[in-house]
Amino acid sequence: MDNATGFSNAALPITLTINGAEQRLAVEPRTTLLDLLRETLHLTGTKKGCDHGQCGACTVLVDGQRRVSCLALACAHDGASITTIEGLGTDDELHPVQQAFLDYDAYQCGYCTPGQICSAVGLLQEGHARTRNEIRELMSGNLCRCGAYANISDAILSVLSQQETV
Amino acid sequence: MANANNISDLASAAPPASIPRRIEGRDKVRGRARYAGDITSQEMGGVLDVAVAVTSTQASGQVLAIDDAAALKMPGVRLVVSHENAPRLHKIMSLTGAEIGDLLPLQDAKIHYAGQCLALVVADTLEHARAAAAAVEVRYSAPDPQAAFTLAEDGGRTKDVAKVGGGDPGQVKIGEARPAYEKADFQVDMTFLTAPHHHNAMEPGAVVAAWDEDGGLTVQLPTQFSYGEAVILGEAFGFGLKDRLPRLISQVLGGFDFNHKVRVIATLAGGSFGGKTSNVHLLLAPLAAKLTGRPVKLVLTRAQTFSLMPYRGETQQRIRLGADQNGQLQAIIQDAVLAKGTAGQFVEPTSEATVKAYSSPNILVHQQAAALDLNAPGWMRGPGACLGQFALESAMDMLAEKTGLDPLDLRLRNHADVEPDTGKEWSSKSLIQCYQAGAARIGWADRDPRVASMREGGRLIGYGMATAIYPVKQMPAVACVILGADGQAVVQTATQEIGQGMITALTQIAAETLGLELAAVRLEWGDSALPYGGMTVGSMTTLSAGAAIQEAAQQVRQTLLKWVVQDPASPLHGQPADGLRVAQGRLVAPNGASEAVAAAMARHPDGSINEEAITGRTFGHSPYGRSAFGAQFVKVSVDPDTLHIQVERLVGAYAGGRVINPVLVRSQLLGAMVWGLGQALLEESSLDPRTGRWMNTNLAEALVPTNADIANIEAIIIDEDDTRGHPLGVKGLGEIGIVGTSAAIANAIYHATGQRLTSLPMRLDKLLAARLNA
Amino acid sequence: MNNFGYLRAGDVAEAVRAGQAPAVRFLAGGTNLLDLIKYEVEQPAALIDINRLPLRTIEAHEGGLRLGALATNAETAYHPEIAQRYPLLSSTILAGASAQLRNAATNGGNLLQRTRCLYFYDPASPCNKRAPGSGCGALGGVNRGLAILGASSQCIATYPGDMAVALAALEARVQVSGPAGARTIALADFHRLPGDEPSRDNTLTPGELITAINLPDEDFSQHYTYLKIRDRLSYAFALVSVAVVLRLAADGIIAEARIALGGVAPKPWRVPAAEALLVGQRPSAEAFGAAASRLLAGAVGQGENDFKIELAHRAIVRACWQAAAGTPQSQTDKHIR
Repeated sequence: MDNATGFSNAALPITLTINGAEQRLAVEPRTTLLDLLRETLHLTGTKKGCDHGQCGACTVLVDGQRRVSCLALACAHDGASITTIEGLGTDDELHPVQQAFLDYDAYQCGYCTPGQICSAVGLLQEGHARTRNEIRELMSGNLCRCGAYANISDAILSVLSQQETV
Repeated sequence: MANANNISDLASAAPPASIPRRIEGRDKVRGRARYAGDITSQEMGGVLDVAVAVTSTQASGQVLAIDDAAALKMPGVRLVVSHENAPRLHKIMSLTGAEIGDLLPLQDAKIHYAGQCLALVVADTLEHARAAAAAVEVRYSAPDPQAAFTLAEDGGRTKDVAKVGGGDPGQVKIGEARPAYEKADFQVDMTFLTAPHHHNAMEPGAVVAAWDEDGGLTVQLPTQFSYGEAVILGEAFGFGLKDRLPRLISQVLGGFDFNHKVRVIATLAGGSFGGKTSNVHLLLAPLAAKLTGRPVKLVLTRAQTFSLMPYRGETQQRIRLGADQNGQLQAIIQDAVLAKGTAGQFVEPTSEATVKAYSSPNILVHQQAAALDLNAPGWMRGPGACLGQFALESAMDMLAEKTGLDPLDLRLRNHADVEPDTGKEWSSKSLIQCYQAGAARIGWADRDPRVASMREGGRLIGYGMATAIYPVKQMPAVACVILGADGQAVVQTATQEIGQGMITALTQIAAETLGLELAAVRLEWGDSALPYGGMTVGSMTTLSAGAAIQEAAQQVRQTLLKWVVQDPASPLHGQPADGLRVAQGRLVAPNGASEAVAAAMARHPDGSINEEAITGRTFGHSPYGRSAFGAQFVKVSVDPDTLHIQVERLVGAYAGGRVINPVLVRSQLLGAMVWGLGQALLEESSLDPRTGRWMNTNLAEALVPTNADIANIEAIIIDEDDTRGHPLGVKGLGEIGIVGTSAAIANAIYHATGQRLTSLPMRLDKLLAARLNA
Repeated sequence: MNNFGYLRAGDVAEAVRAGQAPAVRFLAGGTNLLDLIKYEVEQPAALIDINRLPLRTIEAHEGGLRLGALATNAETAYHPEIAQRYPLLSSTILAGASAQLRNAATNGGNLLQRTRCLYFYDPASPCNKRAPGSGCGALGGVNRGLAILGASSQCIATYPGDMAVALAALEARVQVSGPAGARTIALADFHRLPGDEPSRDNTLTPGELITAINLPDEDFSQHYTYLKIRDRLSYAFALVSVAVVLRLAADGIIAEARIALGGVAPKPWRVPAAEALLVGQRPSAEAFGAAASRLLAGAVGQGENDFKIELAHRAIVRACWQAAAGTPQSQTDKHIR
């Protein structure tokens, strides 16, 4: 279907690698990566807290970088590799950040947690956080209304220092 | 400097692994924890329609027409539900207080507040429903020019209230406070204001409703009271008597139950903080599903949560304190004006802590409410107490200065040795230890107490403190404990997990009482088909559901012990039953003989031992005054020029009875302190005073604390065992952390700057104005 | 949201051609555009996805640097040459938004960020910027965050971003391609005041696409700061922000000063006459105070935001001190220096 200006708003074929598996999908232009994950692919670990990039609950890794999936159009990410919380760790071996969140009780209700963990994984890969203050600042895009911040910072710091000593 | 910091930047050691972590923790960190909004069509038998709400853009008047013609033609749209076609609902007579008790949705054309739900668009997908909702046109009559939205313009709406909160008295009169105040040697008279603010749990309101072929209704949603929601649904949709009757009556008082047609499933809430009970959307999804005959999911947008979910309303409190030469309080007078909605009976219980905080022969509380043309305010973490203590504890700080006493000394002199409003002995009270521990930790004695005297790195430094108090409550609860042939136990109670760690703590209580390993106990919760578990409110879940679990588990244990000593096949045969211990899944006799519970149960003739217990029938009435206490200490720094305020340290010391799980309790206390910081410095929902519309309906402008806002924060837990007050010795610690925080921060800002801020949130523009006016 | 068309542009020429159609928008990071589409503030007929255009490099240009329009905020802030030569820009970018948003938001898109005025964001409210002629809801309404400078009787919106404030102080130039060819626009001329046409935020003409931002060959790496005052310590828009760069002579006399304000006006606010007051002066409270007063001349509050006038004055003076002392504001250490 072409709209009045002559641009097609029909569903577009795209390919995404999601948690390591390549998927061919047809998406409407308006479909956000978040809605695609949750509504179509039923990967509901990625949460919708605000749908406007203001809370970080929908944070995923896009080509290894942390991004808010609510403000990303799926069609614009054709070819991208997406890692969601479901793609981090396994039951036998949690990702070190997941394990640290358990150990430090870095969550309460759990709703912001997938976004916090994906964000923390992105932060560790970026390599700009060396101190607790830097972790606090660079994790401030992930709101936690339960107020688990002190434990979140500790959990991330513990992984950071493990990485340092390895 | 950055390098020097690295030493302090070692992660704190993780708490010992011996302390159980959240039983749902792995699911939460793996993204497998399920919330209502996560429910997919797969789980609903392949069919799950999506509803999107259309809300009113004006606060009063009538809906003249809802033009849904365009929307109905859009792809995937099944239905538009409005007052024109919605099934009629029956009035809800029980369990009201929330807006839903007075204002049933989509029943008529009258508009009560901006953001009211006027229609639901139901479609096959979220995108279709969202697009069609945007295409629904609503025509309105002119708004009512008399509509009022703030306490400043109440226009004769203010009336005395008999009850506040959950039934606390609106008016309290002990002694003769006014004359005592008039003749007091020292007087403080100050008015405090607090702005409305919303819970903004990270999970927005969400509900899935499905009607079955037999006319039964199953609703899944986050809530703090699954039974209450079931009763509301039973009443509103005109089910038979048994679904309309509060099952707490049938179960708790009658001790029986029967099959119901309404079932409410509330597995996990993505934060609630008081805000997710009896929300209007509880009825919206079932209304739509009834019309379509298909399951419907409704998730509110963040903006819609501001008008379709409750919030903490605006308050105004005048506090007068009178004290004698020694600083001994002679009069506490609280005059409060509290916002309520025109629908909804909830009034913030600002007096709850005020009447219990200090020893004073004369206490007078006068509370009024003004019904405003807004959606109804409701319960929010630390209800009443945190606002009351903001005012009272700020006023105490002012009194300390007037009397020349150290703020801590003033509080010690006025320590309430008995519960002030009842004269009852406290079941236990460790407030003095809280003061001492908190003061020592923050270095209270080392500060320079003179106002505006301290500097660090060019910044003004201030220390402040406040008392925290939150009354202990217990509600009726029922629990069923089943010890199976495999030696594993199932515990059933319809309580709710809202992030506080309740399901872990309750599992621990059961395991400890039964003498089983934690892994041998499985809790079933969050389902109104289970025995009545009470409300998850007011820090009372451990007391209520925990007590029922403990009692049922004790009965199971007793039954097991009695049977095993009579069982000839047991190595414990012939031992005295009351001499046996059960620990780590083994029964052990004083003479060393032992048997695994699983081995014994494998022989049990019934295959299981089932016991049910009902506790709290007296609604927790006690011969003792019962309360959790705490002392909040704060260090702030303020930039002398820009007046930028930063909380450097938050130290809270709390005594709240026995602690079941110190990891979870610490988290809860820290979280509540973060709430207190947000309330103190950031949180405000902005109303356009002309239209009554919430304007900053997003998380970029309705600010809550970020990670960067939380610097050094510590919760000290004081050992206390309140077995005199409760069989488990617990008090409840969900609210206490927020109660004193805003006052302590206000007092610290005063100490740093000499400016007394009396209105929340205390943002730098208020400090700037105070400084310029000084 | 309503559906819209989508075209992935293969090159700049195609994007510019497509961008001339009515009601189309260029899609880069999408961090503001999708936000606005969801609120139905923007209702584009189609999005022209420019993300695959070769505009992402950061490279040397005329002695300075050219920042590709599609380089992300994060790539720019952490780019070693920018951190070294233009630390003001790094610091400013890192004061804005969140790490996730900086990973997505592009330099070009950042310049086009629209106001955070609550009435602009609410289609049910009057707003001359969103719906010309409908009125201004913010006048007499909730306007704590809005403009004290450069506003008009029709619009008191602010430009909410951070990066452009630094770019204004650095006198960057915006490179654009359009139907009429390529041109560069001084940053100072890029955003416009509302006057009686508040719907236009900037001086781009229809179909024009930002391709790069050029940083001139100048060294302000010693005496600079970006001081951002906000209600919470991170992830919040500025109440007032100040970018300052100073050039000090060997004797400590100020040889050049540039001061740009954010959060107070519809564009990054510079007043050359205020900066000129500092030239030839030694850093002093008097000199900085005089410059601040001159910068804020004509400032008008709208009620809730009256405090910004005094706050801005104090922030300017403090920022000038930070720059003069060579102790720039750290975006990690929240203490104002």
